[in-house]
Amino acid sequence: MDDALRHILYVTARWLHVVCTTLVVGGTLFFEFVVPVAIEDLKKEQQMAVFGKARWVFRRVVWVCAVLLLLSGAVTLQRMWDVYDSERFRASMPYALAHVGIGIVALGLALLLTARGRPPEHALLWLRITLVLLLLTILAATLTRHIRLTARERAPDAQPAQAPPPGPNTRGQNDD
Amino acid sequence: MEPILVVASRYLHVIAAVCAVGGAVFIRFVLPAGLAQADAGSRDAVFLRCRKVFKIIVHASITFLLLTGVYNTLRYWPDYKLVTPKGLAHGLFGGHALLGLIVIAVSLWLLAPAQPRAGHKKWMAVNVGLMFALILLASTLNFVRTSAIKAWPRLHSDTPSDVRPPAPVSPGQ
Repeated sequence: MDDALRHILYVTARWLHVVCTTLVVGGTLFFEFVVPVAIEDLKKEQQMAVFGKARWVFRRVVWVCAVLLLLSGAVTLQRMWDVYDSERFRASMPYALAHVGIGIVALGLALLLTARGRPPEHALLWLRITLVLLLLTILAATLTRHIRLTARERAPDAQPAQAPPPGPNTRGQNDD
Repeated sequence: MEPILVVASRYLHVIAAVCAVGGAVFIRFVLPAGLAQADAGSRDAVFLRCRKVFKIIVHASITFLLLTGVYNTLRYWPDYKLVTPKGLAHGLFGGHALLGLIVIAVSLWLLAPAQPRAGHKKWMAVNVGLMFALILLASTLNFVRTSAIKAWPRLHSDTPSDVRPPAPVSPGQ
């Protein structure tokens, strides 16, 4: 039962992490590229009102997602730490830490941009910086995963002398 | 060249999904709240302009999702055989792919006409729910595949010759 609960926790953490990422990054992209184009024909005061209200609603999304990203990220990191720390997969550790570091900085900026009642000065510039950092965070995660999978694929195919004989699900056998 | 292609394909797949899903949530739930401040005429005009730009984003995302999805499938198909119980990874992948095609079809159907269809809000909300289910299948597939990988340090570590490595770990164990 404990194992089942752990599996559910890890899958849920992973799912929450991806969903929250789509909401934060996708929403930021939408805010930066779609909304300004869509409201440019409105009067200035209407533009401010629409942008401000949308920002206020998006703020709640960002704050909830930031908390869930940190929690789910911590759960996943705890699960994968012994893999990153093992000799075979240690090459992926720097990229995993880069993902965590850049991600925290990006989330911090996103929270700062939405924290106050009014957007800060040069809001669009800071929004773009945040977006670039978020995209770099995803890139670091992609590299981590790639290095981990490559390390596994490069593991020696020959089993150690004491290994059990290959079964139907052993790597390298064609089940078709 | 191949490592760059593998990383780029995975990265583009994630970014395209982020744009599509994040944009869908934004246009369905966040934008209407923001537009409540505007008068009815401006509200419709702004929404239509957002929808027009969103359509371009969705079409581009679908193209990248399909191309990178096919590549990723061909690349990682042999890995699914490592996962026990047998067929689990294939089943999860099949669900992910099928649901993805349904989401793509619904998105294209909703965005095809120049004006939003009747009931577009309801259908968009349903589609967002399907997107979340799609991500759940992908997350579960990643979990079972990673569980198979987690067994590798124990299988291939430099253990003394009288220690037998354990059998591969299946997610249900």
